[in-house]
Amino acid sequence: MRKLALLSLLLACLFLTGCPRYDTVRKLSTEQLRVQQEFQSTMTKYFASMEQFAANQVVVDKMYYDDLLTEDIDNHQERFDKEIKKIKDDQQKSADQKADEIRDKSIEFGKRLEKKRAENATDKAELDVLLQEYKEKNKQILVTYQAILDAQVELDRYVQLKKFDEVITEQLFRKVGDKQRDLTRLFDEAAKIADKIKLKPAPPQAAQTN
Amino acid sequence: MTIQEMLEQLKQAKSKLEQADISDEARFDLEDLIIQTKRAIIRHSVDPLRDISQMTVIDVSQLRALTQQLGQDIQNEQRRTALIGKIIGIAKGGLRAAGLPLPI
Repeated sequence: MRKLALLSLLLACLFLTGCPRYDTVRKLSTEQLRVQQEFQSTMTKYFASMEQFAANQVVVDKMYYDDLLTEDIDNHQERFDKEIKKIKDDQQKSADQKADEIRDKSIEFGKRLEKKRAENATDKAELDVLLQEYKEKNKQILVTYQAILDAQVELDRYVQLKKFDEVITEQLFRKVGDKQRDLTRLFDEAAKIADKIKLKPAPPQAAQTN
Repeated sequence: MTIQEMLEQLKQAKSKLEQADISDEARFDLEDLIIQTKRAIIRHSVDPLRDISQMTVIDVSQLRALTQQLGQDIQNEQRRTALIGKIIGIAKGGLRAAGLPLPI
């Protein structure tokens, strides 16, 4: 009988000290999960907006690249025209010499334009690649965060899970549960009394007489 | 000096050369330089995107493996609590049948 009483006392202690701790942890876990889920939602929207912004910027940059190419071609065209005029105006060269030089200059000019257009296409393609890589990186971050969230969901599931000690106490000490608040109050009062005793000033000592 | 400041100075130099009636060749070269500088500005404006693509994302493979393990542990815990519940129920029934008082 004494053993049974001891066992009961131990289980009661387990119940009285265990349950409030579980409740607090469970509330925190639920709130943490909610915050993380909302954060994921915000982060997803944020990434989508930034990706759109980057995509728009790429369009603007490509237009700017094309404008620069036009400027560049115009500059080279003007230079080419001047060179051709100079060849044509040269009195010391024969018609055949002039034709040869003009042909060479034209080929050179064509190659230069081809090179400029190729460079422009490469620069524009690089923007597309960078944008794609940026989107891919965002996707990786979101996938990583999903894994973190999945782990949190599983942790929360474990936290919310009724543990075996709770099952024992629930089954055996259901009646005690109602009294728990009263017991907590009694503990608080006992603690206050203990504090008062501790803080009580020392009794005055009798004056010494010679 | 920033690239923008450099570009402004190049433009000013071009304007001065034009006013001084300098050779076409020098003017074309300068114009070419201005265009290349503008192109470099655009190219470097997307450097942050390059930096982002170089970043490594945290490895979560261990997290996934541990999550799976925890799932298994949760199932075990559920089985254990169900078993304990049954055992206690049987024990309480036995005590009642034997006419013994319950501890609490």
